[in-house]
Amino acid sequence: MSTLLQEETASGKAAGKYLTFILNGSSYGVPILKVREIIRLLDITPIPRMPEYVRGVINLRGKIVPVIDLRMKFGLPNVATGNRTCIIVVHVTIASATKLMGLIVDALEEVYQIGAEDMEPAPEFGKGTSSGHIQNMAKVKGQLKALLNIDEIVQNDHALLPLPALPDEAGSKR
Amino acid sequence: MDTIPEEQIGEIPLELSPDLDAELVEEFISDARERLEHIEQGTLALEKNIHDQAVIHSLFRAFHSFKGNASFLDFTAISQLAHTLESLLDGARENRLQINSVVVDIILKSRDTLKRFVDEVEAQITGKKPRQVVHIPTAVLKAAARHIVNNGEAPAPKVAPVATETPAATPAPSTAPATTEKKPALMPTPMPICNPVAKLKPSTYVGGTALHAVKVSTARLDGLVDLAGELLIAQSLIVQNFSSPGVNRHTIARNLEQLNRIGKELQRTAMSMRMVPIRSTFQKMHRLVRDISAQQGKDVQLVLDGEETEVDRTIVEKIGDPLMHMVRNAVDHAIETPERRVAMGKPPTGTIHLRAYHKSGNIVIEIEDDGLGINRGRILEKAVENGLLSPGEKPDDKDLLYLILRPGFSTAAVVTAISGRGVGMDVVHRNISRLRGKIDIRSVSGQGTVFTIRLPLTLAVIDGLIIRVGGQRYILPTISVRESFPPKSCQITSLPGGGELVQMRKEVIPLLRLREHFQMKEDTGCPGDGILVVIESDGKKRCLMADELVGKQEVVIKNLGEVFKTDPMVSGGAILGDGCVGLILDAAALVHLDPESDVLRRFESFDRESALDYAHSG
Repeated sequence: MSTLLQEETASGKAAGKYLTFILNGSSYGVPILKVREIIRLLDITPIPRMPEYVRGVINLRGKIVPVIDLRMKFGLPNVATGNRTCIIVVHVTIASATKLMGLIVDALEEVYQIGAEDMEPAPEFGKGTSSGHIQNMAKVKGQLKALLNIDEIVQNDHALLPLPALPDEAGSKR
Repeated sequence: MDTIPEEQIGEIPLELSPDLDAELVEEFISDARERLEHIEQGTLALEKNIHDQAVIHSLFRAFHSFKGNASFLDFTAISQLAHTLESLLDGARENRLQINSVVVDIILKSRDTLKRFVDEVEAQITGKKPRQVVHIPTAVLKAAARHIVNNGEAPAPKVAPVATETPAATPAPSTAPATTEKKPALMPTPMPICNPVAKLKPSTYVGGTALHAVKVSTARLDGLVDLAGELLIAQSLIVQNFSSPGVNRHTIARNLEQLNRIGKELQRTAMSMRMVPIRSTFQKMHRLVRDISAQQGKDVQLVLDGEETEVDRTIVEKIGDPLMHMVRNAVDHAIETPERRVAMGKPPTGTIHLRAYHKSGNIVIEIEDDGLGINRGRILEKAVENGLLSPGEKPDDKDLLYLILRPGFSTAAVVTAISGRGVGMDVVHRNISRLRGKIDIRSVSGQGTVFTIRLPLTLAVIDGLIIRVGGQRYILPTISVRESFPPKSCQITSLPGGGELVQMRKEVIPLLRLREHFQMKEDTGCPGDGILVVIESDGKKRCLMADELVGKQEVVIKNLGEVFKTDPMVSGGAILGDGCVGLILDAAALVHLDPESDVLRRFESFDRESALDYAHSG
């Protein structure tokens, strides 16, 4: 789907429109085609015995959608939610199936068209940092924005591991 | 070639007998198409991982069912090919032969041949082609497969000469002009058997999801459309009420009430569209019983009861196969020959009862036969042989009977074309568990066996008891709740070293404090105030301590977005009355939670008397 509007260059720089948002004062972006909708923060039902950043599940018009807190996920200090706090509902690809997931962010910014020439590959911070979460860094109006790779964030997470998505008959190994 | 013992190795023409039941054939076709797709996908998966036992099992079952369905309709050509393939996969299943590119190729080729048979049957039954005898060559494939089964190896070059000579032996009868034309296209069949797998055509694998279509009566559909229209009218009425001044509250209240009624009706109608009577599934069994009993020289009558019982469509679709297996088993293995029955002092005619009825929010299906009963000695032998039990181990009767639900377990002495390969019961068990159902087995040696299948009425809705733990509400399936009472009315015993037990009417049940288990931080309410809820699953009990009972509600089960590796004790979610999500707790997981066994084991090792003393003093 994302290949329709976004051209993937050889260096993995996907030019296109990005929804940008604020987390702890810094700016981040996700490809607009990954975004399904943006909703206000509503009541979240926590799931017991899950990591803290997994805030729980919400009812999105009859569909249950899990929500993670990006602040906690990125190890940023926790703050009380303000009136600009919202949930970005995105499509994520887990085990080659597309699922919905909510991301709690501090505030939304704008939708920017970002060209490949404005992008830089994610910096290497050496061992111990997971720069795989960041696809690219983009410069927009002199400001640096981290373009996130949502699938990567979800994929490399022990709590958010893919469930066996095999067809019924074949997945019967016990 | 000479090592092949089977007699039906040659070509078998396919002929549709004139008195075939068109409806049954149509069912066969749609079922066959699904299985063919499954076989193709499975084979391609197998190609990637040749040691995947799960895939081998599932392919084996697919061919097995294919064979069963085809032989049921007397399509010998089809069932023979499927039988050969089944043997091939059986060999693979038991590690007697190694899956390699040749085997994969044979499976795919056979699948294509089976598909041609199915296409042909469909064309003839729908009248697109005249009824005629059809010849589709299968001997080459069968020979190749048998060769592998007999030799346990698949040396590619050896297969080819066998294969090349066979097409010559295929007569092209003048009575089938339409199909003989296709012959040249088939000639190359034997050759590519030795081709590398890489040349296999890519599949159209689309994630294994088939489109499911349903038939709904027009009356119900019209009702739904009407209701949807009504809903819009009621809604616009209310919008008008609010926008025009001077409308009193009563009018609004009345209109809201109307909206409410329509909403409920809409939901009821939508749900009823999922319900169908179980009749069609049951009636298929008549033919099955008749054919198998005739084939085996047995005298069996089938008595149906409760055919009008309405069941969720998904359940009806999925219960057909398991029921067929069980009825087939009953005729094949349980019911004795008339002479033997008379000798045993039973009436010569065996009876199989098939019943369906509703009982406490469940649908119950019973299959009762008055045959031999399950031979426990054989099960024990077989279980030791298969390594399921160690020699000398003596499980209790119930556990022993349940062993027949394990894969590869058959106590039938002979493998017949009908059943006896031990596929039946594990498939049955798996399908039924997937429907959230349970099987009970009762069997009296020499007198018969009763299989009781308990299934939920629908897969979408459960009756739930809503409890509050901390600031959250959770749903317990009412079916697993036994009782609830305030903690004051019973004795809670803390065991040294942690763990608590609740004593209730001479029963000792392990206690689980949900708030602690859920690691809730906030502390609301004093610990003594709360409510104990006893749940039961698989015959085990567990007492849960919650803060409050909120109420009872029918909830629609939804999965939790399938993103998290959730705790097994949360089986899903449901939208509660206020639009929030409530989590559904899984009784089976709660009951089997480890602290339980710990506590009970410790309790058992603890002297019972002293534990009770401890309880009274503490």
